[in-house]
Amino acid sequence: MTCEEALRRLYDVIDKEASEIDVKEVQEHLAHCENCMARYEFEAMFKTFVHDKASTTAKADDLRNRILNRIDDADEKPSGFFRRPFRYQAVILAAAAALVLCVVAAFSVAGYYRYHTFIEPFEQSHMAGVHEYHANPVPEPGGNPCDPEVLAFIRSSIPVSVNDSIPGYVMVGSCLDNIQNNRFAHLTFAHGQSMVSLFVGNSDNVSLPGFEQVTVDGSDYYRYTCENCQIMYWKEGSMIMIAVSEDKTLPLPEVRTVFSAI
Amino acid sequence: MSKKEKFEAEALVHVDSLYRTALRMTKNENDADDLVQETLMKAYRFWDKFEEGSNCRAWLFKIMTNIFINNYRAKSRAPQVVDLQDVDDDFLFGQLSALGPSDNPEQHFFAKVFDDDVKGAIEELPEDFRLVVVLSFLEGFSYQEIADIAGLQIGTVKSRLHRGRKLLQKALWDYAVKNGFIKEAAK
Repeated sequence: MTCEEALRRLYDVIDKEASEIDVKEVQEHLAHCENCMARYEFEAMFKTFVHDKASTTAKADDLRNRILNRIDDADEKPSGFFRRPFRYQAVILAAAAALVLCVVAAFSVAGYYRYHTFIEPFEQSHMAGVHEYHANPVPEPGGNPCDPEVLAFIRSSIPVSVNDSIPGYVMVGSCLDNIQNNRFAHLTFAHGQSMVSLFVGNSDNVSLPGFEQVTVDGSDYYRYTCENCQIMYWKEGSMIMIAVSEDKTLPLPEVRTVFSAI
Repeated sequence: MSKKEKFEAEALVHVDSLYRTALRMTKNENDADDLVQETLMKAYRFWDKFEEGSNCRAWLFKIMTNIFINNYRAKSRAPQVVDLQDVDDDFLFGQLSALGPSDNPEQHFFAKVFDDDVKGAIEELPEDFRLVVVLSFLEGFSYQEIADIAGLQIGTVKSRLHRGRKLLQKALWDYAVKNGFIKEAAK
């Protein structure tokens, strides 16, 4: 090996990246070449020197403890959903995947199909909100005011204002959800121990077959009762409002008063 | 073992090492502190994404490097031009050798330069070079690990490390001459 070849491998050898064969050949050269040997020794010393001088740092014990405290906080309140609307992406994706699977698998079983395709995404989104709320209750009274982005979405479709307080209900969260390829404002209310989700969206592309028509106080509603929930929807102009609750005794039309004309 | 205990045993043990690199990269204690906290909180949030048995330390450095690049690196991203035309690969070795064999100038040089001077010289390096120098010299990562952490080709890692090493040697030599530790060899 020539000096030139030995020096070309210099940093690979110093940084322990050279192959065994290269290392062996370089060592053979260094054994009888003082100049290269001196250079190799110097570069190795330089690397050790920089490491030793620059790797001394004050201990980060205090930093470590602060991180541990933040982890405890994070574990106690998973938080966020009611302020960060898109935390549910995973749930929605899972629901969408379940929906695709169900469409294929249960096409012939109409009721099953209907439930999983049209009802379950709303039910799941509602239940996800319920679980999040129980894990992270919002102090009552007062609740959480409607998220400005959600409010803007509702107002862009219908000129209404959103009442923060309906008698007996407290708004605890709001976000935007994607269900049936449609964007919905998702408002969540607590009513004692029960929870109600209200989805508001454009009715054009929404399909909710199999609902039973009921009339309450002179207005038309469509109602569906599934194993674990009840769903009711009604229309206002081009908008559809879908109320979901796991409490089947709750009179869902009550949440209609959340909107008042501006 | 709970998630927290596992995280403590596998990830939090690297806090000193992360902090050391964060300090060299951000150049101040507050930012370094924030950067490490942000890194470890993010790692904790994504702990289920970490593949058990793989290299946790490299994974943490990758998270930290991404946060640093996105949030902390100097605002101006003009290409970092470094003029090394006059500097030979063996610049420092050559300068020290020229001082003569009898006084053992290398030993003298290595003994005289202080910790803070080396840290300062590293912090003076342009960011692109500083990152690979710190990951290699201080943290002992391999070329491949550095390529993964910094999202670079392995060839880029090698060339930046080569130039970073040269810049560092030049800076330390200039420093030693300026402070009179060493008398520059007669021209």
